[in-house]
Amino acid sequence: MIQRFFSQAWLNAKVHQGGLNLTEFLAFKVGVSILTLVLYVLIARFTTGYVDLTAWVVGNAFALCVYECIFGIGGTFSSERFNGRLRSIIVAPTSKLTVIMYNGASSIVTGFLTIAVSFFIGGLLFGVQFSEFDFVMFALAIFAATFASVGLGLLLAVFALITDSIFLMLNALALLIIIFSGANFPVGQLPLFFPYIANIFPLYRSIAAARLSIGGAFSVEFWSLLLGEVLLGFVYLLITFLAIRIIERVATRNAALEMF
Amino acid sequence: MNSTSVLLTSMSVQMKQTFARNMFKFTLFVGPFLITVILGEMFKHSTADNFVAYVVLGSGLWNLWNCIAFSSAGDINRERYNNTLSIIFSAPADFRLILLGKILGNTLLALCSFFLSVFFATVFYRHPIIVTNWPLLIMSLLLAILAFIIMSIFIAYLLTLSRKTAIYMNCLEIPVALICGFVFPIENLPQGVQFISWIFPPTWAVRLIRLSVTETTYGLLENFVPLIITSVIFVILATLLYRIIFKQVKVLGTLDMA
Repeated sequence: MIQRFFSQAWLNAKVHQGGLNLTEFLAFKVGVSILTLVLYVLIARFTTGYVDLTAWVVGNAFALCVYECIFGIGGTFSSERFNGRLRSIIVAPTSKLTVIMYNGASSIVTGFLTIAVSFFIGGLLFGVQFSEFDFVMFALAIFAATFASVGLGLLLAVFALITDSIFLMLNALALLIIIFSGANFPVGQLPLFFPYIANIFPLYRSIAAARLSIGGAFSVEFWSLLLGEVLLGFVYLLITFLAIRIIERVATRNAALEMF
Repeated sequence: MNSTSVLLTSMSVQMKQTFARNMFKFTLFVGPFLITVILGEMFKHSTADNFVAYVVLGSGLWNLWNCIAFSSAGDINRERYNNTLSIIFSAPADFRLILLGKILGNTLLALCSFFLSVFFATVFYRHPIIVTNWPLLIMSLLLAILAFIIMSIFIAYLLTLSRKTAIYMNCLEIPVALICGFVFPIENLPQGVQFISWIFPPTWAVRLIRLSVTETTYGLLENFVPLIITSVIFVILATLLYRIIFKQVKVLGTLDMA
């Protein structure tokens, strides 16, 4: 069972990344991620005039995992439909959650690495003082961010069973997460009730936790942010589990898998 | 079928097909709002003084480029997926005209995203739009659109021979927004990168647009001349590229399998 999970996950990783040779992977996956970070950090430097851009480097490195976790996992059933495998998957006795999980396994690893590598390269480019960081705290924050983002990605993947506009949803949510993550500006400056919405999105807490790892020590605030983020990930997983049961049943009963 | 009719038919079909896609509706209507919010909030307490130049027009240009680049690059991929790429390539109507029609159709639709960004930025952030030189603004906007079209043609030709179009088109948005200085002056980039910025026509068009909302018109010619020169260079490069692709397609006969 476990062996099958990993062999499927490896097969899926090869399907998604195998089309690229090493140069293309570095240029179009790593390169574009770094350029995205550089763009937002340069806007921050231009708008604030600050020399110390550590907070933006951290925030935008975390924000990059959205692309892997949300698009990589969220598009699972959509790509299965595109490849004509969706009907076989739905009628197969295998748990659909397992299908999404092995589809997303490579995204989890890539998401984690994206944050770590982007932070390191971004840090070198913008003169971040790495010695000021507590890397255990920082790694825990990355883990929490990836876990919550993957949870949301899993939830979104289920919606591809009932809509053909999943990429519209994914793109909109990716930008909303960036807005509410606090990576580029304090969420508190948003008007009305909007700052409270940040609580239901991933990254908001983990970015704050990661920023606490700069010259900080483990504190109650850090743990509460971290646990809040992990709890949010579990809430997403629970909703996904319930949603997949309902949506799968509706899709099978209405025979509407590819007709919505 | 004469050239004008090919161009207009291609434009019309393209606009109908594009507008039917939900993803394009996102790029057209939702994207402009969200990108404007990100930029607007980042500039809210800014020490940079020109909100109109960097948020209102910056987000507009960013969205305009997104729409034109994503749809123009994606169209090649869609034609290949639908097995119609080789048909339109070998049809009696000139492939270049069909492609130009597609890009013009996308550009017309994409203008909505530009005006929506301007509208959102003006309404939500309540900044009055002060333009010191309207004729210059209109002229430079038209030149910016022309620069984007030329770049799109060049990119669409480049992607004709690749099956990895979907990967490449996702790499067009951020690098161009960064290098061409849509939302901050390119002087903020390292000197070496600024040399790369100078190669691209949109860099000069963006600088011209910014001049139209500032008090001075100093530097008008310094930006106008490079814009024309780089645009001409890209047109020549696109023409040469088309010849190379045309020859390769005829020799190898693998357009649908490239």
